[in-house]
Amino acid sequence: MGWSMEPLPDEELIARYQAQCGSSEADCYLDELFQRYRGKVGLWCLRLAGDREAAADLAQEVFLKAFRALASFRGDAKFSTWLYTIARNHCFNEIKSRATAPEAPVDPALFDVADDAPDPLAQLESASSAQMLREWIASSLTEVETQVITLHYVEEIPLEKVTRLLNLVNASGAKAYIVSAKRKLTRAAELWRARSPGAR
Amino acid sequence: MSDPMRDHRELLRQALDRTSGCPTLEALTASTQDAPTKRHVEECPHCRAELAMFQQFESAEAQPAEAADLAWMELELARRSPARLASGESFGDRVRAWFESLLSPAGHGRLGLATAALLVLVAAGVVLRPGGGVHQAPSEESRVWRSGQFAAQSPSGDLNQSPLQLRWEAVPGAVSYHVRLLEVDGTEVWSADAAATSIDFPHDIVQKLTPGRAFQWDAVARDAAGRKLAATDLQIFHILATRR
Repeated sequence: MGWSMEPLPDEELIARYQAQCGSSEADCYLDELFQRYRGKVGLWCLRLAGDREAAADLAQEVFLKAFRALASFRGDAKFSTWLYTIARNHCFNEIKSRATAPEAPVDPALFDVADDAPDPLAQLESASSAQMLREWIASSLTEVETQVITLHYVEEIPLEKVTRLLNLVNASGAKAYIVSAKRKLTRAAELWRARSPGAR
Repeated sequence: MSDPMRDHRELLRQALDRTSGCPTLEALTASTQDAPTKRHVEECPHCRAELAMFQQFESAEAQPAEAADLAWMELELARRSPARLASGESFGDRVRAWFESLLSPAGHGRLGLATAALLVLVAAGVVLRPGGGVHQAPSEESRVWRSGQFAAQSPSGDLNQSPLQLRWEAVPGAVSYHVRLLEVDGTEVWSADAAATSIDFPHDIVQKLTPGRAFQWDAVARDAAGRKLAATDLQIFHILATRR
């Protein structure tokens, strides 16, 4: 193909690919589109997989899913958010499906720092309130702490992968953020208890 | 000592999960968030974490220790062309590449060994085959996959409003139908079993079927013994974004 495709936005590349699907021109549009995201998808997969061979396979599967679903892409969303959603869901599902044994709990020594306080989440159960926990998290935790507990406890991503994915460079990585999150939630629970005499 | 946060994973999941009020990732990442979205993000840990993760994906740069691996991966991914992606057989590709390498001049030494191994495998396959016969009728399952198709009726294609149910045609002999609703990337959103030829989406799923989003669905018909009788093709529907 004799012209540069660089100035074309992603969505225009997809529209042309869809219009000429099956032709060699369509392959060029597809190559250009995927080439723009090899670095982003590659780095995301590398940090989650931990080694380049597994990461390359994971990234290939992400692009394969995107390729297969490209016919249904309507342009209402940006390609970058669409591809990110595929990468995120695929990688998290793969990690969960490959986990053979439950991960060891966070080093108990790390929890000693806050263990004098009652378990804040146990108190919350008595209040039957995920909404209250939601408010505590929103008002007390930093963005990184929120990301770490979301990835580890909700998405079930092992801590060493969370550390790599978020590029946490402190000595104990994601563990330290879990400890600080627990400390802050304990403090929020104490404040709530002080303000609510009827609470346990 | 146990990890108390792990012990209360379900409560954390509820607190950190997406709510019906959460905007789409598209709205979260818009260059200018509207005021309600901004307010929501400030108060919603789920959206804050989602937004931060997307920004991580968008703007992360390889650290010096990652640069060489990432460069290798980019070359490797470039080598795997779209045509190759379409085949979806990375293991098959490797096998093909291995045979290609055997046929190269440098691989001639290994060719004899590979041929011998292949003959042993073929012989073992014939001897150990259940029933011992060379010809075997295709299994019930494989025949079903080739011929047992039935029609998914709705929803399909572009829709002006969110669908409330799935409908499909009846299959003779079927006593139940297993349906799945999927994201466009194949991630399962919801699945259920039905005795009739339609099923209503539960309330929490209806809330996810918002304008601008696309989903896929399919159905599998089963007989009284639970055997698969037929399956629909994967259907795609797209709920058109409302225009103001």
